[in-house]
Amino acid sequence: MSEGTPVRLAVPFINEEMLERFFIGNPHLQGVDITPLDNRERGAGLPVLYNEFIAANLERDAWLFFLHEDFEFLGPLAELSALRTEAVYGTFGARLEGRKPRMYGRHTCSNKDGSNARKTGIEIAGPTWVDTLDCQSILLHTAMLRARPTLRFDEGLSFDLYAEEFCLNAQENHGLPVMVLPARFQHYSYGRITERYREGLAHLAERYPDSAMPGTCTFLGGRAAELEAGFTYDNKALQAEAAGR
Amino acid sequence: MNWQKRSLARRSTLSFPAIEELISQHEVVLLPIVDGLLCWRLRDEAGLFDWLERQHQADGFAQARIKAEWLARRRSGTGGDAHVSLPQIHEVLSELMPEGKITVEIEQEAAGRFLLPDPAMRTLLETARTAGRRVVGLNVHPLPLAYLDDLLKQGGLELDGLHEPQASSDRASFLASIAPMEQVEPVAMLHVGSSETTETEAAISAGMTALSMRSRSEDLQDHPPSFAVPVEGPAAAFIAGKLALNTPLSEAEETPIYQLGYLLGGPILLGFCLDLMQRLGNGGDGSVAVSAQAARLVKQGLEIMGAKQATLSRLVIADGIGGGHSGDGPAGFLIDWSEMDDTSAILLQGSEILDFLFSVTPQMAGIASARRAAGKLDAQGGTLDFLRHASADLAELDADAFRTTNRAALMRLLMAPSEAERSALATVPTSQTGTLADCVEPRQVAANTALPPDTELLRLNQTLRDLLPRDLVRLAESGALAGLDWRQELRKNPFKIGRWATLRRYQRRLEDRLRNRLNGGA
Repeated sequence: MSEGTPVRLAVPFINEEMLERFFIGNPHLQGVDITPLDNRERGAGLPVLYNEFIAANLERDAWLFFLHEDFEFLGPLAELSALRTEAVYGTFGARLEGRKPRMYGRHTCSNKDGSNARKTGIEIAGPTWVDTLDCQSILLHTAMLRARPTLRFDEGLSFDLYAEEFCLNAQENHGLPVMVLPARFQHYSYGRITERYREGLAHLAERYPDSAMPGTCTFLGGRAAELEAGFTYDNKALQAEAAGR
Repeated sequence: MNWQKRSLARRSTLSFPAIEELISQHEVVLLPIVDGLLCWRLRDEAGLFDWLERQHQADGFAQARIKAEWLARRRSGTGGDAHVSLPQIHEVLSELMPEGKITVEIEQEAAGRFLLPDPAMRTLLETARTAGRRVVGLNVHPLPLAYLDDLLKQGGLELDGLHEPQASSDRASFLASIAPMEQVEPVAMLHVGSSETTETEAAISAGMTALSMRSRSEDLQDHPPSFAVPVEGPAAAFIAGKLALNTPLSEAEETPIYQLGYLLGGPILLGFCLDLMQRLGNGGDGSVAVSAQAARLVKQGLEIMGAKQATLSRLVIADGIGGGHSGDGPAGFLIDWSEMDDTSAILLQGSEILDFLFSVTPQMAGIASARRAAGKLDAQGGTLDFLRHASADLAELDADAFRTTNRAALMRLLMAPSEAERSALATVPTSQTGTLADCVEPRQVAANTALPPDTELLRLNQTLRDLLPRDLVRLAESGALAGLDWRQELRKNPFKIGRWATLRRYQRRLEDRLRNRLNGGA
């Protein structure tokens, strides 16, 4: 339990307007400790920025909330005081049920400009376990990170799949659960499947050759093909990739 | 050679004499306890979690329980190879499902109910004993060793020693620790383990001889016998568990028609009797009508299941409806005449199979009568044997779950029979030229084997004469048959089931033949 533990939001950004609108000026985040991580000139991979933030905050107990700049809270932050520190949390994730992945964490998903908004994910009333989280948000406690120096973001990845890799690492090597928390939010991105994403998938397959887990866009791990035999993802990112070929 | 030895040979891919030879070359034989000496009488261990979820109305338990064990085995950083206890797993489970109702004690008690000696492994144990070898049980399962020891003793399986790993230790270090405890060289030990490569490698690394042996559950999944239940769910797990305890069914020592009775007739009759007991046993004063054709078997079933005399006395024997079909018996429970959707219509194709299983022996002349009577004896014997084997577990069974599973099982048989199942059904005549195999989907004929049109026409005529009721034959001869549609007939005469079901079968045959011919011409 972590009563009274401070919450620090880390928001890497390249679009200052989004940062201002969704975080600094967000009425639901007034008084919340927000650290903008300016990545406009540096162009570093997000795992590098996140690991630096972890290193800078590791000594004291805190919840570190890593959020994309296109993530907008539409309600107050979830109550964290009752949460166990020994788990990986997020707001949207995938769980394999039978042969089919199901997405947990009801929210609005739209284009960057807010168009084509639609609801996605299963509504949850309390913390719900999943297999992996989407990169859009990830919440970690420093006590958990202090006790596990090998549990860090994989800097071999840059902008995709690092949250999924973190979840695989947490589960495969540390036996930690991965949970989705109820939250009201909008994600201004449908995501894209790029060559970089494909390279990330190959990286995960190499690093976790015996794993097969669902992600929010594709199956992950060295044995992903076994799951692909029973289910095909149908999402906008894949459709966009198919259309672009 | 008995079926247990054949089962061991198939599961290990060594002949039984070769297994005996291996045993004779070693001083100590190490046998796995769970999924070895004791096997699940459910489909597998996951079936236990499904059962618990249903019994305790604990939604999501089965999936979370599997995930909790997966995580617990990784918590010590051994990459999933760590030995964990049931309390350790439930600690993780409480993180995944904080409001969970199922405790360690509940799970342990349930596991005890569903773990019984595997007859084939008992044979292996006795073989080692006869050869004067020391036999030691190994537990790598989360259940406590003392608890498993009790189960082994209850099952009459006496061992010379039992070992389990220290908490969180991996398999390799556990196996390496056994030789000093047994005071023999590793090379003198034969390790009978699962089919997992990692386990075999660990045994070999520890200096032992490794004999890989697939579990009963794996064996049944890899070699399902004819008429086995293909669907998931608690009732399917239960039926598969009964099968696991009655291995001759998969060893062809019983006739295929006995298997039909055991795996299809038994579960259908069980579901029907459960429903009857529920309806008649709730203190009401009503009665339930059962068709005369099915009454004898139903009464026998109820007696086997321990129904009280008062329940039996409220069973009213009535004439069946629908042209002699057992509308109010087990078949009627399976196929609800009032819900005539496509599924029910397809299931009706199997009404002759159901009549064969549940109705009294028909009066037929000649050799066919004798063959059919003999087949029926086997089928009904299998049906009642299933009830005898199931009667100890009635408290946990749910009639609706059985109905759902049985409908799926019959549907699978009708739509996609295996060659062995088709052959078995073809041994039961239903008319001068027809057999029960006519109920199932026609064999897929390869494109180049389509019959020439003339021969086709002759066969079609013959089929008409043999299979159709007289009024349909007359319609065929007058040319009116082609204008009929079975769905319209169903709506006009819903209780003339024999008529429209036959019409439907006839129209399907025509379509199949047409398709085959088209394929042949392509």
